[in-house]
Amino acid sequence: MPDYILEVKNLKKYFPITAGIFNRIIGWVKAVDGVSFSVERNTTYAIVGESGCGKSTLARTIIGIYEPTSGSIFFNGIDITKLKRRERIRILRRMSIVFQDPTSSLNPRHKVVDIITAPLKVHKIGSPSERVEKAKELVKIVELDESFLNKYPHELSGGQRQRVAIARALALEPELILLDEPTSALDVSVQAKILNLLKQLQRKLKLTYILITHNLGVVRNFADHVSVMYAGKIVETITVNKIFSEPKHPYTRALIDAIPSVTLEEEELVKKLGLKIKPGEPPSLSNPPPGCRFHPRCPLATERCKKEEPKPVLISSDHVVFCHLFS
Amino acid sequence: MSILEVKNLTVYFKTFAGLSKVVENISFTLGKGESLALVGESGSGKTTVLKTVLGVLPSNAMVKGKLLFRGINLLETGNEELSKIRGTEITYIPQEPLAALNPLYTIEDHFLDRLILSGKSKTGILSYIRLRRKISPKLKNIMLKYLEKVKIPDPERVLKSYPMQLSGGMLQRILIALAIVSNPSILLADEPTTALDVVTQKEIIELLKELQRDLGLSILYVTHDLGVARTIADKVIVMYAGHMVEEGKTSKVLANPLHPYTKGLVDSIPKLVGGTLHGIEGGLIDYINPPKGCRFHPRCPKARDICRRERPKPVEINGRKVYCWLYGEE
Repeated sequence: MPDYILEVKNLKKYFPITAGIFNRIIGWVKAVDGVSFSVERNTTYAIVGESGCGKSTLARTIIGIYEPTSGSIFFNGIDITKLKRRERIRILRRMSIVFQDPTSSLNPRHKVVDIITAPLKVHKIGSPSERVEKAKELVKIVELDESFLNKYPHELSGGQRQRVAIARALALEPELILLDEPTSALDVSVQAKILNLLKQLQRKLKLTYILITHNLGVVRNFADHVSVMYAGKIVETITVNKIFSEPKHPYTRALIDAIPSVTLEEEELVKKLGLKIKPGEPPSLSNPPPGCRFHPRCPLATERCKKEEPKPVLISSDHVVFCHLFS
Repeated sequence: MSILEVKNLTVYFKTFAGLSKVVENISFTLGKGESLALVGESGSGKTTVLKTVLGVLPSNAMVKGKLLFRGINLLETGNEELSKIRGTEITYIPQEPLAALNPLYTIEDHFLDRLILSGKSKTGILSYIRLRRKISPKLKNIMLKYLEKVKIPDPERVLKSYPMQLSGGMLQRILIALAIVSNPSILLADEPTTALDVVTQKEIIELLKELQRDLGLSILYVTHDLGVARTIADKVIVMYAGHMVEEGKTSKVLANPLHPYTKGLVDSIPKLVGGTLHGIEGGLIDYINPPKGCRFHPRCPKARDICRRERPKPVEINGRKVYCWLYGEE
């Protein structure tokens, strides 16, 4: 029996669309619509998809920035959606998040030391001098110099800022860290350094990561399991080794097909696994198409896909696909 | 035959802190129907080169060198002549589609602007109102034709829409249509796909390649994504800190990078086939006091004495050029 640190069951997050002076609700944006997955301790779980597919909303709902509409989130076996506020905050301390753009996620008026100690202050941990000691320790962990503590974010480069954001995420000694596109605002040479740092931290501090990304290259080099999301739903859950040898869902294959390859080896892989789809855009989340949400763009769609929502099909113990082609 | 020739282009900026030496000695040629990509990390001066070609540098810029467009030096032409070339012969696709279009005007207005007001100075609201009344079916047909060329579904509706009503991919197509409507010979594209998702990115890349083939366009791309450069451009110039470090056929440069910087860059990309990532130590340089010699030497694992003293000269290897002392001796 695998040791799951986080289990998400049928999680939904709808945002109301309001109109008129009384803010009458006229519809819902179904950003996350019935998502289930489980994350094993000490591994990296990636969630991939295009912008607007609900992957960031999913991360923010898990960490409690958004209240879920329905569904449950089990963290270390406890359903955190059913807890009282104070209890939940105590448990959520074991989870933290690194945001995409370090320029906007760090307060420009605060020094690095204040940024890193902020979570400790919020949770009233330690005395001020103890917090500074902790901050010194943390900058060392993320391979920065102690002199950085007295700098402001604008004095740092993009990579250094992201290191500060990681140090802040580590301040409360979490077990699980959500990485929301941690490297997409960075240059490739810096991205590689940050990914290597995160990997090394995972081994050293026994961390579990949930990686939200649109870059399959990062997934290949960083994650163990991956779920592909499309229009608020997971379409395929698979191990990283298998996604690059036997992807099943047409959308997963379309994503692979779209990657601009850098080497010949890569180009061959993309050619072998990729699938061309019809030009178009992901559907509106307030009014998704009936049946399989991908059917308007899917080249392999049948009549059944237009009417019936696909059920999960178990290909193997760690490979689930939501597609009628395999049922 | 080359259509654009850049010779020893050097761009400095006067700032309060001193002279910022952003671009030094860039030389390349762009042939008819060719596509060339300037590749580098953010802050490497690639956009500055593009802006120089377009002639839209801020007033504190000092430009030296030659920019020959069909034999005319663009740096020495008067404003009047320049405005005939810029915007008609040389056009531009900006990076951020939503920021590039005016949110208060419909797509049709943007087309009118390009078709009738292009190259004219001192146009105000009155000329715009006069224009609005003059849309002939012929003009409209031109608009529809170009929207169809960039494969926009339902062009009639799109013409009447405002930018915020359309998706990023659609807007990027419209920007491309606006750029090719004057039948240009050179298209400058600044990160044309960076703001888009991968699936849309692929569609836009295919569209640009098709247009290049069909219209015989010469395209100068600026991108930080080596994968995009490989699929989109025949030739590539790798830039580091305002200097050229390597030049050659894209597929060859990426398959077998010669310069340590290019190699570091290729090794940093997380690839689908796996493998370890390396990254490059250090960060970008200070342009006011740039390192002497090769600008890459403080980060280079193979730096020697000569790299710190003298700037490397181009060395030709199998039709490629590399600016590195490692290959200088022969």
